[in-house]
Amino acid sequence: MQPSRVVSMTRRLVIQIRRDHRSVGLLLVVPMIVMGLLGYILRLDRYDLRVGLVSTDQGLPTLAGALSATEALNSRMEDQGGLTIEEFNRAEAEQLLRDGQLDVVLVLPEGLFRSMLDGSEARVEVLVEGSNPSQAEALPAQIGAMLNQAVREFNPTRQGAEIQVETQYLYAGPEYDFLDSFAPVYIAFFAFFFVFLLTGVSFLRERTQGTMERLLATPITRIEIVLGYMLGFGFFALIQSGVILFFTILVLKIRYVGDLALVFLLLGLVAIGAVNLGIFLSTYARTELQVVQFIPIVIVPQALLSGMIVPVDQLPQLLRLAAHLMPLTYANRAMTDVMIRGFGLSGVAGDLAVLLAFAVLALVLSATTLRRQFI
Amino acid sequence: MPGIGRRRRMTPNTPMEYVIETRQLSRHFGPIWAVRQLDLAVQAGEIYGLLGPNGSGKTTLMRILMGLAKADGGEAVVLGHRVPDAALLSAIGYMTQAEALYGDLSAAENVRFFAALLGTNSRAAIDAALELVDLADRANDPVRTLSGGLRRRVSLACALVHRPRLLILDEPTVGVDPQLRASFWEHFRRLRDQGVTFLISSHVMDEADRCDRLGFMRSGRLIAEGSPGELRSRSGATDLEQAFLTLAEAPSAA
Repeated sequence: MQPSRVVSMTRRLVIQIRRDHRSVGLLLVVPMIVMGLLGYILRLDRYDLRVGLVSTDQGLPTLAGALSATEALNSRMEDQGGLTIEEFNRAEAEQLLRDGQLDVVLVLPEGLFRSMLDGSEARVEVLVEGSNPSQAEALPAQIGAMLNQAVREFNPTRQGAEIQVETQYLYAGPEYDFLDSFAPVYIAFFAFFFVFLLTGVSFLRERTQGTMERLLATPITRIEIVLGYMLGFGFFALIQSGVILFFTILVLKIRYVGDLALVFLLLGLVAIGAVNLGIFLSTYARTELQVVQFIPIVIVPQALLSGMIVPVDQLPQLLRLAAHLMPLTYANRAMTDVMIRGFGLSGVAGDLAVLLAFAVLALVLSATTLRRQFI
Repeated sequence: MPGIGRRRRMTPNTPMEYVIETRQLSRHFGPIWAVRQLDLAVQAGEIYGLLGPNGSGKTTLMRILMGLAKADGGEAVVLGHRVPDAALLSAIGYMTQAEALYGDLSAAENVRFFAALLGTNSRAAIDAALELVDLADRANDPVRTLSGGLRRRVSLACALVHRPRLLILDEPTVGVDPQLRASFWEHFRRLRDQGVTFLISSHVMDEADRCDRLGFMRSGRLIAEGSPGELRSRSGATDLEQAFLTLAEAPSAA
C-alpha cells in the first residue's frame, strides 16, 4: 500500500466533483431544502378546527329571554381554544364538510338544553368527513370531550351521564385505517416517480449513445419520438399500477369503493405527465447521475407537499401555493376522491382536467426542448 | 469545379447532375468556422471521399446535409431538395462515428427498428442488409455482446437497410480491422456500381485511394479536389498523405 496513490485517487475525485457544479450545489443545498420543508411541515402550528354547528335545540325561556344549548356551549367551547364555531343548517354544513371547508359538524338535538340542566340522557351527532383516518378517529372524541367540558362549566351541579357522542362519516369510516387512505396516493406517487426516472435515464442514453442523432436522421419527427416514449412507458406505468393496486387490494386487503377503470385513467394521465417531464428534464442532464439528482428537486417536494403527509389545505399559504403547482397534488386528491370517497368521473373532472393540462404542458415542453437541442 | 458557384437553385423536377451540391455553405461555432464558404459537388454514382484532419469540418458538413445542423450561410441541395428537408431522409443512409445502436437489442432488432423508421418493413431487406455485412450468424445476439468491429457492421447495416440512393458515412471504418475494412469497401463499390452515391469521410489516407474522387478539407474549406491520381500528380507526391500535406501548404490550392 502506497499512500501517495491513495492521495492521487482522492485528489482526482475532488477535482472531478468540484468541476461538476451541479453536484456540488445539490450536495450542499438539497439537504437544507428537504430538511427545511420537512421541519416546516412537521412543526406546523396546530390550526383551529373548523366546527359547523347545527342546532335543532329550541332551548328554554328564562327571565333573561330564551336560552339555548347553542348559546350556552358556543363560547364555552371556543374558550377552550383550538376551534372556531359557526352555525349552519344541516344541508349547508354537510356540503361545507364535503368541500373541506369544515373539519367537523356538531348536531345538537332537540332537548339537549333540558339535559344540560337536569342531567337526563342526551346524544349529540358528530359528522366527520372520514377520508383521513387519524382525523376520523380522533375528532369525534375530541369534540365530545370539549362539549362535555362546556356542559360542566355551564352547570357544575349537573348530575347524570355525560352527553353521548354518535359519530357519522360522510365517506370511509372508522374501519378505514392509515393504509387504506395511503394506498391511493402511494400508487400515484410510484407511477409518477418510476416513469419519470425511467424516461429520464432512457432518454439521456439516446443522446449519449448517439442513437438520438441516428433517429433524427430518419423521417421520424420529434413529436413522434415523444409520443412513442409516452405510449411505451405509459404502458409500463399502467402495468406497475395494476400490480401495486391488485397487491394492495388482494394481499394487503385495503378497503376502497371507487371505480378502478377511473383509477387507471388517472394513473395513465399521471404517467404521461411523468414521461414528458422526464424527457424535458433529461435534456438538462449530461450524465445519469445528473438525472438521478433531479429526484430531490422534482420528486421529494411533491412527496412532502402533495398531501401525502399533511393535507394540502393545512399547509401555510406559500407552501400551499407551491403544492398547487405540482401534478401529484391533483393526482392524490383525485385518487382519494375515487378510491375512498367513491366519486365518479364528474366528481374528479376538475382534477382530471388539471392533470391533462400538466401532461400537455410537459409534452409541449419536451417536444420544444428536443427541437431546440438538435439543430 | 467552375460554374457551380453561379448556378441558381435547383427544383426537384429538373434532372440532377449532382447528388450533393453546396454553395458557399458556412457554419461557425463561436469564432471557429466549422464549414466555410464551401462549394462541394458530388456526382451520382461516385464514391466521394472527404479527407482532412480532426476538426476540419467533415462531420459538421455531413450533419448539415442530414438536416441535423443548421447552416449559417449558403445552401445545400441533396437529391434535388434543399436541406433541411424531412422528405429526403428516407432516401439517405447515414452512419455516424458513434455506433449509435441499442445495446439491449439484438443486431437484427436494431436493423429492424431503423428499417421501420426509414419506411422498410420487409423481412427480405433486413436479412439482405445483415447478409451484406456478413452478420447473419450473429444476428440474434444482443449488440452489447458484440465486438467493436461487429458493431460497426451492425451500424452499417442500419444505414443501408432501406436501399438508399445516397450513403453519407462518417468515418465508417474507424476501429475496423484491415480485413473487415476491405470487405466494407468491397460492399461500397458493389453498391456504387448499382448507382448508389457515397460521401465518405476519413482521416485514414490509405482509404482515400479507394475513392473515385477526393476532397481535401482543412479549417472548413475544400483545399483541393480530384481523383487520387490527379491529386498525387498535381502535388508531385507519391502517396496521398504527402499530397495532402503539400496541397495544404500551397497558397491557392483548389
